[in-house]
Amino acid sequence: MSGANMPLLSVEDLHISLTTDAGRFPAVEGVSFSIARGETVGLVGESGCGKSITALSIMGLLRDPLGLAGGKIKLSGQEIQNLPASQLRALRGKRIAMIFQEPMTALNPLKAVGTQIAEMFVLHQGASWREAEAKAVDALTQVKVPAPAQRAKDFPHQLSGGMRQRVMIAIALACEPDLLIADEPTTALDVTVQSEIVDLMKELCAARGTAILMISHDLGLVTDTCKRVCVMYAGRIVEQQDSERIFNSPQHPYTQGLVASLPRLGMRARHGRRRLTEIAGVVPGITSYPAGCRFHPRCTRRTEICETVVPELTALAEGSLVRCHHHG
Amino acid sequence: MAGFIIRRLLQMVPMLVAIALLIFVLFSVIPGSFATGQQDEGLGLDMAVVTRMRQELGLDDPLHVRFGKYVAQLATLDLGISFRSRQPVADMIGARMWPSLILTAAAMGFAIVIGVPLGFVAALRPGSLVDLGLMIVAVSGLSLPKFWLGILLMYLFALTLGWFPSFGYGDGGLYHLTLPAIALGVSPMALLARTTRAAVLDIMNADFVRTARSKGMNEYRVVVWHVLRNALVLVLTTIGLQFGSLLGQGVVVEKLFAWPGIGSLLVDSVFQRDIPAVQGCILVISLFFLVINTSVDIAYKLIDPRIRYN
Amino acid sequence: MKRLTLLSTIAVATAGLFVAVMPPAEAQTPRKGGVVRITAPYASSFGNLDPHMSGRSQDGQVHMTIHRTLYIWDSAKGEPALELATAATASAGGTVWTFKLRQDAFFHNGRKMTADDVVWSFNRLMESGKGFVGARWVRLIKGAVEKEKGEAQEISGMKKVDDFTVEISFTQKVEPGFLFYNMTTSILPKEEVEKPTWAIAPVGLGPFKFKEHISGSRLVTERFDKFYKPGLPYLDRVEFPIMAEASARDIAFRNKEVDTSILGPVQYVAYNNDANLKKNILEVAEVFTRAMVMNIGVKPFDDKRVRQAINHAINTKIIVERLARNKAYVATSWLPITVPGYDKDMSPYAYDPAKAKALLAEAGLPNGFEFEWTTSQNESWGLPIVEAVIPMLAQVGIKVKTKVVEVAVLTDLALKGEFQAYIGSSQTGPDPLQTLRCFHSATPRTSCNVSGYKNADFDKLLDEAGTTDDPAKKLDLLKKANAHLYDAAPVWFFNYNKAAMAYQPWVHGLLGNPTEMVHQYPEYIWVDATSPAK
Repeated sequence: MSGANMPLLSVEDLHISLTTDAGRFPAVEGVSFSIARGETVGLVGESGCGKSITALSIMGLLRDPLGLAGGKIKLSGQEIQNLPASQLRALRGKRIAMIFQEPMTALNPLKAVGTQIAEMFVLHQGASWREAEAKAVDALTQVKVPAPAQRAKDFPHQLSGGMRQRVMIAIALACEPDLLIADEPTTALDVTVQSEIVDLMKELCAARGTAILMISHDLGLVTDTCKRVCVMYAGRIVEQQDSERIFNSPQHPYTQGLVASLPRLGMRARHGRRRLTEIAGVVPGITSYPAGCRFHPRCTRRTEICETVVPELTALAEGSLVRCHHHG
Repeated sequence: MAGFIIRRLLQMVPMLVAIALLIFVLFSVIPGSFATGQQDEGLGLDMAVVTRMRQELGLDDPLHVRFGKYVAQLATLDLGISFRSRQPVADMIGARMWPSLILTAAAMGFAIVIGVPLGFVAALRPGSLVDLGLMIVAVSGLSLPKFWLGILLMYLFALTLGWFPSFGYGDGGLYHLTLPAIALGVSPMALLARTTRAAVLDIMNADFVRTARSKGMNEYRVVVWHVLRNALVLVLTTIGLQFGSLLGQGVVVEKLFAWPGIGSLLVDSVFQRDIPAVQGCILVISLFFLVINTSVDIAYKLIDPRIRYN
Repeated sequence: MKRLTLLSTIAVATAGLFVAVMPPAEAQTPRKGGVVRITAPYASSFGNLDPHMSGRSQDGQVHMTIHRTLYIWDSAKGEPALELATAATASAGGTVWTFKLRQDAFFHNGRKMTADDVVWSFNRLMESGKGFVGARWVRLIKGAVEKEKGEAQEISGMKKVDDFTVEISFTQKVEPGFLFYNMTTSILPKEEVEKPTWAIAPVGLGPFKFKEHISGSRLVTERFDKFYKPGLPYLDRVEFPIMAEASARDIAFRNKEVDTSILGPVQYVAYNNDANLKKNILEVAEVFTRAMVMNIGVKPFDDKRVRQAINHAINTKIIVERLARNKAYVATSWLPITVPGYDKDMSPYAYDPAKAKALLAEAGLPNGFEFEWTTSQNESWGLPIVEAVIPMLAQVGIKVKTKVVEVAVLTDLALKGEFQAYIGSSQTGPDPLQTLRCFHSATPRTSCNVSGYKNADFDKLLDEAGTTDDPAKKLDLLKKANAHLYDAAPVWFFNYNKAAMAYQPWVHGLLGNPTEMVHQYPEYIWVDATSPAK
C-alpha cells in the first residue's frame, strides 16, 4: 500500500480475553476495521458487546482482568499493540486521544478544569504552567465555552454536563491528535445538548484533520456523524457498511432489528400507529456466549447451521461486510 | 464560615452539660470516696478528719445541689477546686495542656509522616511483597500494646543505644519527646497506613485516573498530579478523628515516661475520686475533640471545592 | 533534764534486730555540692505540697525535704529524736510537756521560727470545717476537740511561755515524739500559708527550698543555705522524678538517669542476681504487717479455732519465698520485727493441714465452709497471693470466692465492715501501743479495729500498758498483748514488709527508715564526684 493510502488506524483480527477464576473467556474476537486519515467511523452495539474494550485496547488502557489475546493494532502502519509502556505513553494524548462517557467522573473533582486542560500542554509541548493555562483558555474558546477565562477556574461540579464534555473535548484535541476516540460521548447528556456536542466534535476534527472513532449504542447518532459504521454483537463485528446504506439496507438480522427499533420521523404517517419493534431475547454475557453464530438464539432466520458454524465475514458490494449465513 | 463555627460551638454546650451530669451521677454510685483515700496509708482512718474533709469539700450536699453549683460555675468558666491539691482545676489542667498537646502533635506527626507514605507505597503495588510487608507492619502497630512498645523503645534507644533519655519531660524538647511520641504514634500510624492504602486503591480505579492515563502521563505523574490530593482528602477525616481522641489516650505512655500530660491527670483523679479534676479533664478533652473535628470540617470546606462552592 | 523516752533503752537493743544492710561506714569525707535524683515510686503525681493536708507516703518524700517538725525519726536508733525542739520535759504524769525550741531555725523566706509558729501551726490543724490530715496527732492536745468543733477559737492546751518555749497539755499520757515526728504536723509560716501561691510554692524550715514542680513529671528543690544544721545539707539540689512504673524505673536506674529505685519483688530478685547491682541495695524491715483480716462479726470467723485453723492451713513460708521472693518476713503475730514488743522467740504458725482440719472439726465444721475474700490487685498483698492460698485452704475443705476491687474501694469496704475477709497492708509501728490499740474493743472499726475484735483480757493488758510508767513493765505488757493476738488470730498473719531500695554507687548517706523507706532526711545525703547528674 502506498503511503497516501495507508490507513491511519488498522485493527486486524483483534482478540481480547477476560480472565476470571472460572477461566478465560473471549470478550472480543476477530475484530478488524480500519480508519483512514480524517475519516469518521462508528462502532455500534449494545452494552457489553465489547466496543468500549476495543477502544481501550487501542489506547493501551486495558487492565486486569482484561488483556490482549491476539491480533494487531497498527497506527500509520506501525504496530502498537506490543509497544513498551513508555512508547505507548508517548502516543496517548499526542496522536490518539479519548473522551469518555461520564464527564463528571472523568474529570478530577479537585482541580480546576483549566488546569486539567493545561496539563496536556505541559505534558506534550513542554510548555510552562503559565503558558499552558493561557492556552487552556484558548482551547475553551475553541470548544465554544462562553466566558472561557472564568470557566477555566471553575471546578467540574460547577459546570453543566454539556460544558464538561466540551472540556473533555478540549483536553482531547489540545495537542491535535491524529485520532479521537469518543466512547459514548453523548449518552450522559441531555438530548438537546447531544447534537451540539456532536456537531462541535465534527467541526473541530474536520478543521484539524483528526479522524474520529465514534462508539455508541445509538445507531441513529452514529449514522448521522460517521461515514462508515461497524456493528458489533457479542464481541464480534457482524456488519460494516457506509452509513447511508446501512439505514436503508441493513444486511445482518441484528442490524435490521436495530434499524426497525428506532423511532423515525414520518413513520406514523407512513406506517400508521404501531409499536416499535424490539429484538427478542437479551444480549448474552461474556461467560455464556452461544456456539456458532452468537446471534442465533434471537434470530428469526436461524437454521441448524447457525447453531454450530461461526459465519465468516462476507464481502458485499461497495466495501460492505456482513457476518451471517442468511444475510440480506 | 464564622456562623458555622459558632453554631458548632453552641451545639457543644448541652453536650458538655450532659457529660458533667453523667460524671456526677457515676461518682455518686461507685464505691470509694475521696476522703478515705487521702490519709496515711495503712494506718487506718481518722474519722473526724474524714468528716471535716467531706464538709470542707461539700461532699455531703445532695446531688442536685452540687450539680447546680457546678453548672453555675461552668457558666463562669470556673472548673472548680481540685479535692486533692485544693488548687483551681483550671490551673492544674492548664499546666498539663502544653505537654499533652506537644506529645499528641508529635505522635500524630510521626503517624502521618510514616503512615501515609507507607499506605501509598503499599497501594501502588497491591498484592506485592512490598504491600504484604507494609501491611504486616501496619497490623502489628495496631496490635502492639503501647506499654510494651514503650518499654521496648526505652530499653533499645535509651539503655542500649543511649540516644534518648528513658523518661522525663526535660524542657519539653525533642530529646525527651521522641520516644514517648513514637510509642503513642505507632497505633495511629498503622491505622493511617491502612486508611491511606484503601483510599489510594479506591482512587486508582476512578474514572479520572483513567483519563489522566489517557492523556499520556507516566504513573508517577498520575499519582502526584491526580491521586495524591484526592487521597489525602479521604485520609483527612481519619487524621482528624485520631488526633482528637489521641489527647486522652496518652495516659499509658504518660505514666511510663513520666510525661506530665492530661491523660494521667485524668486517670489519677479517677483513682483518687477527685471529682472536680475528673470533670475538668473530661470536659477539656471533649472540647479538644470537638475543636479538632470542627477544624477538619473547615479544612474540608477549604480543600474540597465541591463543598466550598455549595 | 531531758527525760529519755521510755523506749530509747529498748530501741538500742532493737536496733540490732534491724535486718538492715546499712551503707558501709564512710571512709570518705562528704562532698559538698552535686545533685541527687530520688525517684517518687508510689503514684504518678504528688497530691498536695501542703504537709498538713496529705498523709500519703509519696507526698511525704517532698515534705521531708522542704519542711520540719518538732521531732524526726532517728533510723539508727529506731526512735523519734528532737529536731525543732531542743528539749522536751514531761510533767503531771506525762500529760504536760514543755518544749524548748531551736533559736536558729529560719523559714525559707528568711524569718526566724518562734513559738508563735508552733502554736499557729497546731491551731491551723484543728481548724473547724477543714480536713487537715495532721489533726489526728494534734487532737490529743487539750482543747483541740473543742476547736475542731468550732466551740473554741484557740486550742486551750497550747501555751506560749516565751518566744522559744511552748507548753502543751494533753488529754492523756503521751509520748509526743511518736505524734510529732509525722510530717503532717510540720511547723509552717503563717504569712506564707495565707498567700495564694502557697499550694504551688511551699515555704518551710527544711534543708531544701522549693524550686520547681512539673506536675506529673518532677519536683526540684535546692539548698537552703540558712539551714540550722551546720555544714548541712551537702547537696546543691534534690530532684524527685516521678516514676510509678517499676519497669520504667528499672531501665532509668540502669541507665544511670536516677539515683534511687524502690524494688518490687521481681526486680529484687533480678538485682540480687547481678553482681554489680547487688552491692548497693538498702534493705530494711518496714513497720508494715500484711494480713488477711477476718470479720469477727461474721460466722464462722467468730470462732477462734476456725481462725487458728486458717493460720495452720496456709504454708506462709512458701508463699513468702516463692511469691514475695523473700522480700518479706514471715509474720509472727501483729507487731513487726523492728517494733518493741516483737518477740523473736515466738515462732510463726506451723504449716499443719492436719491440725487445721482437726480444729475445724472441733469447731463443728468437719467439711469446711465457704467465705468471700475481698482483695485488690496489688502484687505483694493482693490477688496473686490470694490465688496461691486458695488451693491450700481447699485442702482442708475451705472454699474461697474472691472479690477483686480497687484499693480505694477496699479501704471503704473495710471501714464499713462490708466484708467477710480482706487482705491488706497495715502500718504497725513505730509505736506499738498505738498499733495494738487497733484491737482494743473501744476502738471503732472506722479508726482501725477493722476486724471488730473484742476481748476484755486484751483490753486490760493495753489499758495497763497505757498508764504504767515503768518501761520494762510496759514492754512486758505489750509483749503479752502481742502474744494474746497471736493466739486469738483475728487475722491470718502473712508477712512483714522488707523494703529494698537500690541506689547508685556514688550516693551516700541514705538511711534505712523502717517507717517508710522513701522517707529520707536529705540533709545527710551526699554524692561523690562520680555522679553524672548536673
